[in-house]
Amino acid sequence: MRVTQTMLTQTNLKHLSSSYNALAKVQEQLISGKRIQRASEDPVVAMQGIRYRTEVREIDQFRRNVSEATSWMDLTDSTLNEVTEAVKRIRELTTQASNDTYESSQRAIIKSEIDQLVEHIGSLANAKSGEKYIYNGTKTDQPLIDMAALKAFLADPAADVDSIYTGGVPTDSGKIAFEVSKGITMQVNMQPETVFGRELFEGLRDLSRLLGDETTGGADLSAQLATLDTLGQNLITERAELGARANRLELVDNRLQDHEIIAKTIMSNNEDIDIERVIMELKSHETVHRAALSAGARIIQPTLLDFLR
Amino acid sequence: MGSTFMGLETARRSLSTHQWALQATGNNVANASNPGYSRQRLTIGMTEQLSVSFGGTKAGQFGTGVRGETLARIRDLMIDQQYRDESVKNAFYATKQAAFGRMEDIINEPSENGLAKSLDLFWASLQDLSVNPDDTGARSVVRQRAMTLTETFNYMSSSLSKVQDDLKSEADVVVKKINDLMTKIANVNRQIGDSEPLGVLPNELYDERDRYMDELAQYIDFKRVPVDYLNGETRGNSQRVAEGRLDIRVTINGQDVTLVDGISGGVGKFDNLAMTDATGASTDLTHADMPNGKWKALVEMYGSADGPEGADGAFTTMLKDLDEMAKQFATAFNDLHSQNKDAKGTDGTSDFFANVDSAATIKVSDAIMKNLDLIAASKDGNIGDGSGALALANLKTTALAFNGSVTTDTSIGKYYQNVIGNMAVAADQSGRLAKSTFALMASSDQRRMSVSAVSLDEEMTMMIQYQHAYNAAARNITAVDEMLDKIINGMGIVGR
Repeated sequence: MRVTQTMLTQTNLKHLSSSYNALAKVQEQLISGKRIQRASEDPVVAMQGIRYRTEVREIDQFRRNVSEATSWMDLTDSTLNEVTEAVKRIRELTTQASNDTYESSQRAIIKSEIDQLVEHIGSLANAKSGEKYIYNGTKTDQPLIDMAALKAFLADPAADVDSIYTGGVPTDSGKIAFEVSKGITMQVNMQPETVFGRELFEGLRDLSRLLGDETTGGADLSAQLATLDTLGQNLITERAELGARANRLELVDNRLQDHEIIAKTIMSNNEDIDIERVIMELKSHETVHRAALSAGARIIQPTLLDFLR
Repeated sequence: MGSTFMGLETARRSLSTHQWALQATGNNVANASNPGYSRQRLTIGMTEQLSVSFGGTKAGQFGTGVRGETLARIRDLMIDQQYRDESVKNAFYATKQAAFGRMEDIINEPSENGLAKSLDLFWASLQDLSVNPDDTGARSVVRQRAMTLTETFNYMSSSLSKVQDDLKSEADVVVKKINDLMTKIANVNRQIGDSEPLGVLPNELYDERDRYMDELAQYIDFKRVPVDYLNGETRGNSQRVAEGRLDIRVTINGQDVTLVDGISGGVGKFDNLAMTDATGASTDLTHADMPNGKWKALVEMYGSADGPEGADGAFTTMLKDLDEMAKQFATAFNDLHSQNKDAKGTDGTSDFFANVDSAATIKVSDAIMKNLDLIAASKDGNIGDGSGALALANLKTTALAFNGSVTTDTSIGKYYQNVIGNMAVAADQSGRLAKSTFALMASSDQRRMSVSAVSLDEEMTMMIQYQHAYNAAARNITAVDEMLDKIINGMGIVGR
């Protein structure tokens, strides 16, 4: 084939341009750390990439939900603990008061302490996580117990127990559930009627009334101990239920952690560069480019003109 | 016996012929870097021979010298054809590739700023709202993310429309250029037709016409049909190697349509999808019948409104897909939203998204923009219930009725993935084909240059050859001169 100067120049330019292209691509890969910049460079990687990224963000979100649920349950557990302690103290006081050597004036002192403890339990029922009342079902903007009504209720043996609840009844059974894993929701709140139910406050009021009554004998008070035991038992059951839930949540969190690592690895395998390989590629493109440049410099210069006279 | 001065005349012819040959070489060297130039060679032939009797029965034929026969350009029309065929294909795919590139730039996936990311953030904000339904902050984030999402839809749609408009006007420019080139070819045709019968070879005009045809070959696929000297007949003193006038024809729907008529000088023209042939008769042109090339690629990308197939242009399809996505997603979202109760416990009567019919106009509804409490996150009407928000968040994986039917598992994310996948595959394919057709085009260009391009070394060699021939002819004149000098001045002076 007849070869002319123009052809040499053009061939050289063409190869230089294609090696520049290759260098540019490798450079982009190194700078961005990603294998592809445009979907068309590898349609499969691009499509999978969208999916994997969504998955990683989803897991991220679930872990955030889990952490919210954990803090909610931790708060529930600590308030229930305080309620248990209060009930325990009430039982101690009752045992003490059931001693017939106690006079009515001494019992009145015990009564006043028990009344304080009951109010304390009432305030625990109004525990807040952030701005949310955690024991009032889905009515998180309202406290469960109306504290003024609770005081009135303790003072008035004939009062209806429902009056102490905001809104009249502890019937809001709204469950608050967080999605903690794809399709798995977990209830994070305790139902008000199971923890701070009517029998708790009625039982405590009866106790308080007995202590205030001068005719009450030690045996009457001892009889109340059984009620207190039942109340204590209820609390323990609830806390056990809560503990089981917290346990499950922890398992979910562990699984999410594992899943997160896997999902991130898959995402990275899909779209991140293998840096050693790309640097090797860069080196080889560089060599080719240098060769093309030096070949160009040698080939294009001389013509016959250089050798004629 | 020949004339006394015969040798002088022979040498004079040689001098003049080689001077012309040197002139042609000089012209080649001068045009060495002119891209459309074909090198020219003076064909050198013998002049008529002279029969000479040597006496008796002996006789011979003596050459009387040399003359230039034709000054022809060296060009292989077959390779030209191959080059133009590849050029048409390359222009077609390269144009598509470039347009897809702009589409990809707008869609910008996979990235941290695309629609997929906006969607993910929106779903996440709904999850957060389901956890903290009483939190005004969480509501506000949902609204902000929804705005980001609708703005992403708006931005993509308007940017795509803008590029689509650009492509449309580029196609209009291309049509103008095609018409312009056809007129130019017709003009050159006429000049060639005028000069050939005088016996000259208008090489510059041939080159010019080939340049125009090379340019035209980017835009449309055409046939070059010589119409003069079809049966070896010539007009006037036309040389047999003369190329004559050409028809430019395109094949539309299996029929040849003459756009430039070499004989009559008629020129047709394109006007968007309407076409007038060289006789002035108009022909309808649908997108499917369009000649291949850059023009067709542009029409296939922007989607011509007037062609029946045009509605399937890549940009039109992408815009429709976005509209469908926005519409199905927002409609389903509004539907779910209306089943929830807002922060005040009233049924979620206000739509969350408004103007849901197209990606260009979709926005967060004015009611929601004014009042965050109208975001309906609750099922039972209490502020602490986030199950409504959760139901909204789970729309993420719900199959929606895209394009009229619910296909299993076609959630909005999946649908978007498919849209991206289709675009990526089409872009990838045109990129590949652009590359391979470019290689073919470049190699036929190389072959063409191998035939027609000027080689300086070669010209230099020719120059030396012609120079020496010229010098030798001059020396011949000197020899004859000395010979004649002998006869004229040296004879008849015996005894002087």
